[in-house]
Amino acid sequence: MNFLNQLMAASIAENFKNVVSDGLPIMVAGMLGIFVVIGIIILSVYALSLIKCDGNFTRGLRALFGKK
Amino acid sequence: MVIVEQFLKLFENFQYLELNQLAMWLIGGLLIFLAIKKEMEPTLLLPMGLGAILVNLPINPAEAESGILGVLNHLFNMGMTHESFELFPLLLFIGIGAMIDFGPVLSNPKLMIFGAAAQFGIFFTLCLGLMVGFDLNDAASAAIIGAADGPTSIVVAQTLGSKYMGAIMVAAYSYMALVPVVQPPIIKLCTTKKERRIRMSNASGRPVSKLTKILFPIVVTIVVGLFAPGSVALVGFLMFGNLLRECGVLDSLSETAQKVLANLITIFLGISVASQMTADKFLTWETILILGLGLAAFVFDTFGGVMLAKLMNLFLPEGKKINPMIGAAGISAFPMSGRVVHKMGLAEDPQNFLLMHSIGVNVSGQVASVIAGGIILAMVQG
Repeated sequence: MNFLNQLMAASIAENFKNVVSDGLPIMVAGMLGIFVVIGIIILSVYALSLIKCDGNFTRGLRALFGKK
Repeated sequence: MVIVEQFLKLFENFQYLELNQLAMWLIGGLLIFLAIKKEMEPTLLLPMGLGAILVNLPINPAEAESGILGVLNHLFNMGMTHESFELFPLLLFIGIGAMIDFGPVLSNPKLMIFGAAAQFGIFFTLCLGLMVGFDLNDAASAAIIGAADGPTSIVVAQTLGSKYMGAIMVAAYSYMALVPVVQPPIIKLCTTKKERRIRMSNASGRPVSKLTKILFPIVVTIVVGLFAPGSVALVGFLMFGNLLRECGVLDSLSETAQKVLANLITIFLGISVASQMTADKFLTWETILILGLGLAAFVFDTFGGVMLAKLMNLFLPEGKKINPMIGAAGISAFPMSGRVVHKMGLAEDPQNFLLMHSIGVNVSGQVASVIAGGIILAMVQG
């Protein structure tokens, strides 16, 4: 029984080490990555809708760069 | 005597019947019941249910591979394995892309951020999977159940060579159907009544031009191709389907993709996944753990979406606040999750119509979950 407890404790410690070394970096980098990619898509969509906002491509492009 | 011998041959197979096969019949029966009686994802749970019974019929082990298991394994190898480029889920994505109208999210693009936040459950569950002792590949494969998107789960699990394909598929599709049961308590737990009653204006949406709708799938394909190449096949096929829908000159192809192609692939997909549901592979403790991890992924996806909305509300002025429930729709179970949030909004305040917002978030969750799959593949494989 004592041996089993020791074995479980060892396995929990080992698994926790895996979480810290593999899981957490993937979690942080992954969430960051997904926000960046989605952020770029959002910006692209705003750019797209701005270009075509009044049905006039040239005027839309000017609006995108802040010119009237 | 000969007659008796011949007659007894009919019962030969009984000697190969094992108790765990009987248990799989019950599980198959349960899936069929849920599909027919409860209408839970019947297009997939029904073929998977019958398939689970088929592959667990008693048979002489020497003849197993030439029987029904061999046929289903062949089908699985043709369209579901990494060697066959996971062709079935990819082709299914053309149909799904053709079905999706990105209009609601294009009219209010900032809603897409909730699609990203609601993938939190995937990454959190990956850590949970490691904690309960799975190796990185299996933990990631179980975690991707939280994508709430069958084809993405298949592609990721297969690419990472998971041993638990059957359990992952059952979990992915059953939880997707269980969204109306799983999400509301979590949403209620994370929000106050006052927050659930926040009204959002429908006037914030801008009109979406046809050009934007056409350019959107092309832009997304390029952006995802550059940043998350692991998911470019999934996103590419999804966006190809959407381009068929939006281009306006290929209506018949779009209709074929939505109906004939999607239905055909769904039939093959459901029945071939069942080949992975043999008793020896399915009835293990790991299956129960995977079902648990899948549930955790759905719960923490919901939590992630709601929490981001609450965080944003801290900085938004009165009158511009976001109903945090729409964050939960970022889980990509489309369109159930969007509808669940809309219904919850109506239950709190009969004049609160959140559908436009929740469906917008829900659609963006579809894109975000595929990107999350690609990111998982890039990070775990790399």
